[in-house]
Amino acid sequence: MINQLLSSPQFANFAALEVGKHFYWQVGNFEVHGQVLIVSWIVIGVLVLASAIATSNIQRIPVGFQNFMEYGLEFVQGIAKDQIGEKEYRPWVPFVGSLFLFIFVSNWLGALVPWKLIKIPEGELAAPTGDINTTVALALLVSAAYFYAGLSRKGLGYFSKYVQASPFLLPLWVLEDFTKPLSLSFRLFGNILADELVVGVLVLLVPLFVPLPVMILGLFTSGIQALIFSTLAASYIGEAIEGHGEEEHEHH
Amino acid sequence: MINNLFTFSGFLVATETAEHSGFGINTDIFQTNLINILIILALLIYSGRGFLGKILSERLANIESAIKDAESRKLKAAEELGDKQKKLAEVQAECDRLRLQAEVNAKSAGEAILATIAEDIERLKSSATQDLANEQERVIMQLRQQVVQKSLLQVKAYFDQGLSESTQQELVDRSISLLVSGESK
Repeated sequence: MINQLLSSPQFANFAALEVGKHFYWQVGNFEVHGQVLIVSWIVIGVLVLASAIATSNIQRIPVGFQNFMEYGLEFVQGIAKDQIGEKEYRPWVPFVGSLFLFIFVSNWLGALVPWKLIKIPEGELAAPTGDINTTVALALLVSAAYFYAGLSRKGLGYFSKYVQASPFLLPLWVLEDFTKPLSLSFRLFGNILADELVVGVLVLLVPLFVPLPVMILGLFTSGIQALIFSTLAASYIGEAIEGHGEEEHEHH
Repeated sequence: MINNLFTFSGFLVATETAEHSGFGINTDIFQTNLINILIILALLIYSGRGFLGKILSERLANIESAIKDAESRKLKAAEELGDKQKKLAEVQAECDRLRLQAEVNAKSAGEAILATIAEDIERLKSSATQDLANEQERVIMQLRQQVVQKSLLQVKAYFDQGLSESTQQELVDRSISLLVSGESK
């Protein structure tokens, strides 16, 4: 039955459309995923436009949209403050806040805008975070950020935490520096892509109403994933800034 | 179902051709999931408006009350500042007044002191001249006494040398004549 389903033309078509194909652009020697860049630009545009509108007519008592954006700012400040600590969090608010807002808006725009209305030559428009390249880029940025935070705070002494507990743990620490971006990127990518695929499959099978619960769940998951990504980024940074390896290993 | 299958396989063909035809608009409402997305959006706006509206209005109220509070405190502080400034001005005026009075007092006191000093000088001068006169008188008296004593001593010495008979006689006579003349008077 399943074999039949998978081999049926609509499924093959669906799979080919969703995962395999990309709208390639040739930039120098690189082939880039055009559909991801287009939606990324739209997301960035939305964020920049929202910021511009919110700050264009600043009132002392924030009403309407300014109030909403200030609430958002307080929220991302809260993420950074909770993980990095009251004393150090301020310089990291822009980074952590941008991560959260970009991922969140990407996820929600990907789920809430009927991108399939627009046909592009190959592939289809979707949330940029559903593409592994985007999430890997974000995760590597986080890695760079926490290395920078640790090194700029303690200089080369930052690496002493690798051998502080026991020299035998050195490989684990080094391994962790690789698993952190790996887990960050795969978690986000997997969640968003899986959500899109599930919705896509359900839409394919039953176009009306049945996908709704999954879509609502998807919105919920998207928000959670944005929160998790930015929280973990902030927590890595906080861990790098903090004193030597007394803090316990993070579970995630 | 068969119809569905048909449309899907038809779509496959459509996409195959679309791949080469570039950008366009997909008008298949079911395929684009448009209805579900619209429902979700409506749900989101319906439920989000209340939820978010409550949070935002609460935030607004908090900020408003905080600002009002701060403003009232500022007003109170300004009032207090004005009060204190007024008091300061009063104190300064009082200070000036006291200083002026003190200067006047000092001047009059100085004058009084100078006057008494002049008086004292006058008094001392007069007493000094009196003392000088007294002393002079005393010294003169003493000198007189000394001269008298000296002459008496000389007289005594002269007498001790002894008087001649005639002289004694003469003296006695003179004394008697003196006595007589004194009695007759």
